[in-house]
Amino acid sequence: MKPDTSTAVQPRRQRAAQDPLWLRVLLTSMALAIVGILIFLPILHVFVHAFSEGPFSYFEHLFGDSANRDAILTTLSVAPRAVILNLVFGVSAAWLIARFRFPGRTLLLTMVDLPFAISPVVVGLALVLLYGNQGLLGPRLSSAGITVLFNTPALVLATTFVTLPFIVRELIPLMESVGPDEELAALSLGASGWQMFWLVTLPGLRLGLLYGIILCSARAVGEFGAVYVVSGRIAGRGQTIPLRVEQLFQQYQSPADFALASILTGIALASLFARRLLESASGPRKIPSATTSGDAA
Amino acid sequence: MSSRVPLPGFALSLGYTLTFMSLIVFLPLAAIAWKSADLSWEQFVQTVSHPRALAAMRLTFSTALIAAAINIVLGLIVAWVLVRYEFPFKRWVDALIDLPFALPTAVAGLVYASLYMNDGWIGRFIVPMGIEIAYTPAAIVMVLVFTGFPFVVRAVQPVLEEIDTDLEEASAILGATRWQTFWMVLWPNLRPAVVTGFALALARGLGEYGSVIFVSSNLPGKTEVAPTLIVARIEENKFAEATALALVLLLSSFALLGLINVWEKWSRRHEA
Amino acid sequence: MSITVQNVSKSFGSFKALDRVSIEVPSGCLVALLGPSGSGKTTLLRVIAGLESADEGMVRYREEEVTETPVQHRQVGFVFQHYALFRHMTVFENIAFGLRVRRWANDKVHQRVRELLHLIRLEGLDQRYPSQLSGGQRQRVALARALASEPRVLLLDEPFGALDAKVRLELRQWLRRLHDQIHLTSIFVTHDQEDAFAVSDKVVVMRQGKIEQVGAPVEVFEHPANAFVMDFLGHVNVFKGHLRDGRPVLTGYLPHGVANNFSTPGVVFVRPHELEIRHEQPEEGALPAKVDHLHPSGSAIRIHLRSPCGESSCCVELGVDAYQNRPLAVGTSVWVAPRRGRVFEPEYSI
Repeated sequence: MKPDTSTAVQPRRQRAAQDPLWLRVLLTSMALAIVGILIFLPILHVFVHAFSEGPFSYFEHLFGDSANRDAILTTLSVAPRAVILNLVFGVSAAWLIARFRFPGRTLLLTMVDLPFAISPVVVGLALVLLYGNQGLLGPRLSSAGITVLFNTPALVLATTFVTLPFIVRELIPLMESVGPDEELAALSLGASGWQMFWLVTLPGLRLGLLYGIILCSARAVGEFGAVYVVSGRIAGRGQTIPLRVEQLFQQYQSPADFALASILTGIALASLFARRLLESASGPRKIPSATTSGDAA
Repeated sequence: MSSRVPLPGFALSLGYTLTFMSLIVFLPLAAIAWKSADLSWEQFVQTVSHPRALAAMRLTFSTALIAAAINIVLGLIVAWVLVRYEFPFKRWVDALIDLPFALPTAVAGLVYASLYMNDGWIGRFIVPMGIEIAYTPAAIVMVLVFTGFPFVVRAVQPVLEEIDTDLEEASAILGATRWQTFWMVLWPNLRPAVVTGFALALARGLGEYGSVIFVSSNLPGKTEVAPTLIVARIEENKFAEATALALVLLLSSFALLGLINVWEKWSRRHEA
Repeated sequence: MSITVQNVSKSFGSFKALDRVSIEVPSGCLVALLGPSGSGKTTLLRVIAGLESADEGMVRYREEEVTETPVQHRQVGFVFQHYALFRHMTVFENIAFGLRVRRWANDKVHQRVRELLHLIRLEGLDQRYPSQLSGGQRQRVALARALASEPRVLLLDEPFGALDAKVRLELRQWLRRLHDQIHLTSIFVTHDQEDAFAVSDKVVVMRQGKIEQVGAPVEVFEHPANAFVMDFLGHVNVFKGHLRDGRPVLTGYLPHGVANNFSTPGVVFVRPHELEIRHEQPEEGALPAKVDHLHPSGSAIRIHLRSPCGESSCCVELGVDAYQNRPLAVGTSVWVAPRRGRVFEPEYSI
């Protein structure tokens, strides 16, 4: 278990005093420039261009255009489903991995991180190979009247695959650091398994769940590559917001494009700041261990 | 063994977890395995050695490598400043570092494309200077630097925070200059984290698609990355070829992940 | 309600935590499981509770065999080492938990919780959260929570472990008084001999998964069954020597570091308060020594002495009054003679 990494301000000032002033100024300006150009500039860019024609035009682009509206609605119907699926999975897998030791546990843990290692395009390909007309399951499903590809189910499956690890990875370190004592205490007091789960386990995970859901949602909303491959890519049918952004880009429809992009950016920023708030409520976050700090899109 | 533990729910959670993962992850991957079994060795080699495929692979690997390397430098500087120095709004800056994790790649692509175009905020300064970035491999590198940026920073930060200042003070007392202290005392501790961050950024860069298609002209053989080529093949219904290329990407990322794991274990061998 | 443990063994991987342990805890008794870390005392407690399952052997509550009964149904009260209070519930809800899951009526719950709050003297604090309580307060809430649903037995894992000295003392007295009030069969685990002696009716000394001795505190201290028990409970000096006519005769010092090897034959164990200082050489059975260091210890003075060659040391404890009669200076040469001593059968290690 890594120790709490919150160092008091005092010691830091002393350490900083070891670097000469000119070096501190130089490095700090470089760092600020890096973050400014790399990250801050793009955010600014999005919002400036989104509102470049004024606020009325902004909302007009978002809700006036039917294709844009549809994209928003599709995203709103796909992302939450993926998040809910991964929420139930996340709790189940975290319980299993954090509380029990069994052969294959490490393997399972690695498998859970798999979606981070796979290019979303490959995810899309896999789904096409599975559910397409010449695919593994496709023909059987379509004769039963179920179409997966080019429809919402495919979008949900793709998004669920790609965002699978997020909630689990938040819950496992949390459960491991809290330990099973409270749950054992509940059992010793006569609670049944489900009573223990609802009354003790879940409430203890509140912050981790919230944070995981926020991360998962932000990622689900923004998924591009996998969804691109499995969707119909025709305006109004199976287009999520990111796909529509790309389409508008091809069509050089700049302000509408940035209007949609601003929604996505807003969600991303909200998730970042929600994380900050949660952190100050619960103390510094344990940084997830190396193999899995991110994702490909 | 585990069923004798008083905690309930082992069988239930095991069953549900495995079922869910099979449906969502293993089954689709099995489809890839199934399709690749279809491929003969000759077909595979033919697809992969096609000039267009080779160009795409070359571009993918080179841009990802360069971007990850750049991120080592940028990441170290930013991590150092965040951990060691104080300045106003530091907490906000720290929060922003994660933006590339949270921001959809399509938005990243959109923004980077428009920034560097002729009349973009940056383009309008550098194009007259003769520096063309938009639609060139340089643009791909730029956007991969963006998407991979947090990896090195977040990998290095906790290590920097935990380094005992006593080490540095001991080094200084023994007469080392600041640079010597950094190189001989701090760097060996940071190196594993930097390598991990590098590998993660690299793995991400190899698979990056959403942002790249915005900033690149996507010309086959010139500015087309491997994921783009795969999508093209899918759209042409040439699934066998798409699978072959996907296998190359898959194997590279698995190999990278495996290397990261081994590297982590190996570099932890000195820890208590 | 009495507890019987018969031939219980438990291993974790290749580590044998309990090796055919058997013990009887009479109804209403307060028993301490005492031993160094790794002795198996916590494992034994958890097996009795049902938090671990034994590989072999049997656990009975009175006549009922509970070896296979899951912990929820054993009606035990268990107090965890770090209390395991439910962080997100108030003190009231924590204590009420065992009642709520048993679906007690609301007014009965309130009544019972109020009783317990009064018992543990935390009446005004029932709406606080665990994070707002001190260590000693949390300890008491954990106890109240365990007692709420009237368990058959109370089990405590290192209950005084995480507390500072003064709180520890208070809590020890409080626990003893509580036990005298409610006469619930109780077992607690500790590695601290003081805790065990101050609180319990019977002490069970354990080492490496086995029970070394069971008895009342005075008994195990005055009549230890073997060298380990004598050494573990309080300080002890170890010399070369033997018993003649029941009286200890010292023949020499042991080389440093050998003292704790219990399998050495020809060794006498002498408590510091049973070793005397003489200023003239007595008849026989005494050893020369030089005064090295003195320090007060409670109501006594501890005198550390070294052997003439300087390689071994021993310790004498004298009452303050006795010391004032003839104070000693560092460096003085004296003789040490045992008033009483113990010799044990050497333990043969395989």
